[in-house]
Amino acid sequence: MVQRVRFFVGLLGLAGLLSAPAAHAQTLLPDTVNLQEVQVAGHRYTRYAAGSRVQTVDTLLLKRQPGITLADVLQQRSPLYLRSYGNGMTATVAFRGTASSHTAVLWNGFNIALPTLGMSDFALLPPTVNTQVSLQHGPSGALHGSGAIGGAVVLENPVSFAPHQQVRVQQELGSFGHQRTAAVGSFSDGRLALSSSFTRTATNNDFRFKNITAFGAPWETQQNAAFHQNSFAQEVHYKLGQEQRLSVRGWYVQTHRQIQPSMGSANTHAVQDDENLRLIGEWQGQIARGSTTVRAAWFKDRLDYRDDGTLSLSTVNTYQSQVEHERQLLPNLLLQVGGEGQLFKADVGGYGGKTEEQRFSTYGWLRYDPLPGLQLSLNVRQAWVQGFNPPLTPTLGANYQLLENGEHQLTLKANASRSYRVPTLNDRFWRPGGNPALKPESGWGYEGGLVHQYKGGQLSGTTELTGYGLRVNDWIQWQPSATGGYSEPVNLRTVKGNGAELDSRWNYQFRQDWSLAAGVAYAYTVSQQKLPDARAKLQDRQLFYVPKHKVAGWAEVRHQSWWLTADATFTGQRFTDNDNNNWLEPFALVNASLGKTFTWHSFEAQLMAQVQNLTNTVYQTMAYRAMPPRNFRLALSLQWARPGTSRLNP
Amino acid sequence: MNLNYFKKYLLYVLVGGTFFATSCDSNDDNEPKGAYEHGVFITNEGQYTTPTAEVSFYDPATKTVIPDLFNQVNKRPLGDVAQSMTFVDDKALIVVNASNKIEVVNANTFQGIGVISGLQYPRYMAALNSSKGYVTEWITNNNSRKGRVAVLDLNTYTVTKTIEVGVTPEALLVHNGKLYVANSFDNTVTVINTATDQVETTLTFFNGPNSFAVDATGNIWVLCGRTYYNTDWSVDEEKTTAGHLVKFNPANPQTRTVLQFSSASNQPSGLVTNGAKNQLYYTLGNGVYTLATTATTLPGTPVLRRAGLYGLGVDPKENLIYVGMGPYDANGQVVRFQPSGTAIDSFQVRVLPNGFTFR
Repeated sequence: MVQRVRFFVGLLGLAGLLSAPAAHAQTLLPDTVNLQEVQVAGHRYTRYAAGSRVQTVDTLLLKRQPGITLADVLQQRSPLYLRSYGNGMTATVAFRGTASSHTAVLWNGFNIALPTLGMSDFALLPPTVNTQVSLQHGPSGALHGSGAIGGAVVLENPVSFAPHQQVRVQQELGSFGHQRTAAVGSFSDGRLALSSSFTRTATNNDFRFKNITAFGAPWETQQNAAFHQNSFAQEVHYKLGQEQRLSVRGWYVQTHRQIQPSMGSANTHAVQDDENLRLIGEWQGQIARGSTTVRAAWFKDRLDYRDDGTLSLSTVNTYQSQVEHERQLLPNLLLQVGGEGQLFKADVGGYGGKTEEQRFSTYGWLRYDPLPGLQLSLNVRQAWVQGFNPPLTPTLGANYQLLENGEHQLTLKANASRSYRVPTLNDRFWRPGGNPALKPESGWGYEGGLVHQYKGGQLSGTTELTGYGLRVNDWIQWQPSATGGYSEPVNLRTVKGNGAELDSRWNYQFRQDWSLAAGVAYAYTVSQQKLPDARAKLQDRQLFYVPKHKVAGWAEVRHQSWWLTADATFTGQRFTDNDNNNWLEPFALVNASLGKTFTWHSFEAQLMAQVQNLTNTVYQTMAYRAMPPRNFRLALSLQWARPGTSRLNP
Repeated sequence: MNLNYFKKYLLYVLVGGTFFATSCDSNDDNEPKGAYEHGVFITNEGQYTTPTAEVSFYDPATKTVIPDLFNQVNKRPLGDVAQSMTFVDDKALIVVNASNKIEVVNANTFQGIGVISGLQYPRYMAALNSSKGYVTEWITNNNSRKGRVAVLDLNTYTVTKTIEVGVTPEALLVHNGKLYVANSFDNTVTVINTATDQVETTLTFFNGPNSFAVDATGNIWVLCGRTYYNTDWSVDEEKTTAGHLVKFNPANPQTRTVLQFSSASNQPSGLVTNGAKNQLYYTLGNGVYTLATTATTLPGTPVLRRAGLYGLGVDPKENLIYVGMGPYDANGQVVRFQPSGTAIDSFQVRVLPNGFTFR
């Protein structure tokens, strides 16, 4: 076999796996109030997302454990299935039975998926404590651009000038050499707002596991799975005047990982070094009777992989700019128009030299509330890519309030949306095989549902039920080339899916100093290949690594300064090949943590103990990648905070 | 090699040795030999970096297929990339490339009896007799170092010696007391004396020797062809020449018949013979080509074409052609053809069927 093909296929295998966790808290139009923490989200998309399912993830985990990755957050607080190659290893997410490359990941308005692979490794994303994470379920090409075929993960750091000063340090220790150190601080005087965050996570991952591939299934110690990750984030916001603001955001993540081999494969001492630098400058002002925002960004993504016989270096510089303008045309009619340009400069060993690609898109989003209980949104986006044009992607959605009395509110919602995905740089430029003439993938999604909101005296909650259908055309797949000897991407598959999602979150203040917050989310997912039907062997079989059933539940009890949290997930059978010959058995996973806060004047100390995989379940989310058994963590944090004084109007 | 691997290695040696001793004691001639004594064994590479390699079994008499024979019998996966399979008496040895091991099973029952570990990218095997075998090892998967041949003790499942050969050694052949090794990144064949296990000489052919066949007259055929790449992964047009099929007399290796291919855009591989050893078969692009061992020119047209063609085998009894095809991430397919190239039937196997062993 040609070695290069094998290496590439290996990379594809590693990266080409997909999965989908989701999140927490419910969104009806204007804004989202997270049930657990006071957390008003200022999503720029939410206003235009009528009829679609957007949920805010409970970000309490980010606050309590600075440095935790999005992979861990979604695993513990979302109903999505996380495809993880090991503890801290590559982890991807897919929505509604699509692939991980069908999940767009946006950070403050910019797509941050790796342009080479067209997907994001959620183990490389440790969001800062003030990050709001929301999950768009279903296609949303008009709002989120290329890649939002199954859904989108949206990370935003809202600007707040509320005067304050705060410093926090934290140290966490755990099993298998786990260590996490964090130092975060923020300051605002009403005109200038600063926040800084540094975190470092490291682990040896030398846990014991049962090697089910070896004769007699012996217990072994995991080899070659240690990693460390440093993340530094800085934000500076400055009010130029009452109506103008300047912001600079920087996020640098550096990750060194040994790559955990699968059981039964030789340890080739694989190591992956990632460096992700993201810088954004943003100006926002009120001009021309509306709000205008101009952004420019520079991302640098380095991914270097080496093992005993392979060295693969890649660096991609991405330059992006966005201009958007929003204005209220009528009291019940809101419009946003915008455009963006992207320039990718890739220096990838596999492309045989430096490569560039340019992409542009423009969009218009409309939100119209013709009646008090009816909200409509119509969004459209057209993209242009060097060499070809993706389709026009419209979205039409509506919310209709069926019922409202003092305590109950019942809303009907429906949405139809088109999506597209530009082929990745690998798909287009990899040598040999890369095909610059590939068509973009495109998809359609339809959904409808009901949202029930309840607000009584001590009890409040939201329940959302959604049913959907989804279709992806021209799904790109690598296969042996027509002339043999290597592999090549082709617009091969058509995939159809449908499913139902139930999400319910509740808060109960049952005594003066006792409260309970709990949520449950269930996803039923069917996703099947319809084309090609050569030999009719893959039709009507569930795509691999898409569990039909996934349930996630979590609860937190608080009493005075104590809290006790538990989360549990049940994941159904997952086929590990598209032929459905092999599968992973269903498993349940439970985590729990107990914490107490000590307060003294402006100081606060927090002690937290966690147990992960409480039931010591032996499980895998990707076949033959061992996952850790029961393990423990202990964290202590110290915080000093005080409200500040404003330099502007008090 | 770390301590754990070493311990595991020792364990395999011990287990292997014990099993072998037991099977010697208990295997009387009058016992039934097993359910898989005769048939076609298909090696499926599986998806690289996952232990999804498998051996499929096909019984031409009943047309029954067992797609996952190893797992079905042994209740565990075979490993990562099954490269090749070799029968030595009543044992089958499966070379599992990316698991750095050879799984040894009883050829009749397919029950595992031992493992040879500690190899580095092993590829193909040949046996001198029931107790001594050879396996080529790449050492690296990037053509940067010379490969080697490991001498195997087939009783204890240990490596007794290693012999350095050329870069990226592939097929090997035992013939008249000599071992021929195709150094596929070079243009040479290493000849090793099997009595001393020393390199005797190195024969120069053309770029990319990759497979051997012995014909009925005792001549050796070596098929040469490889695409070389520049550092920027464009094809190295200078070094990548049209392939060659060369016949030579092992007693006088400089006496040769050289047949040159017409184009360098596709490279030939997978040389096999029929049962009578008077007809040769190889793959080129998507085609299977055949020629008589008396031919003096290469065939211009293939006997058959198949998109996604991967493995090739010829059944020694009926001269039926077996072709394996497949994507990288789903079940592959085997199609059987008449010697004329007419398709007979097909069946599904596992991921990437790369070779056929007939027994």
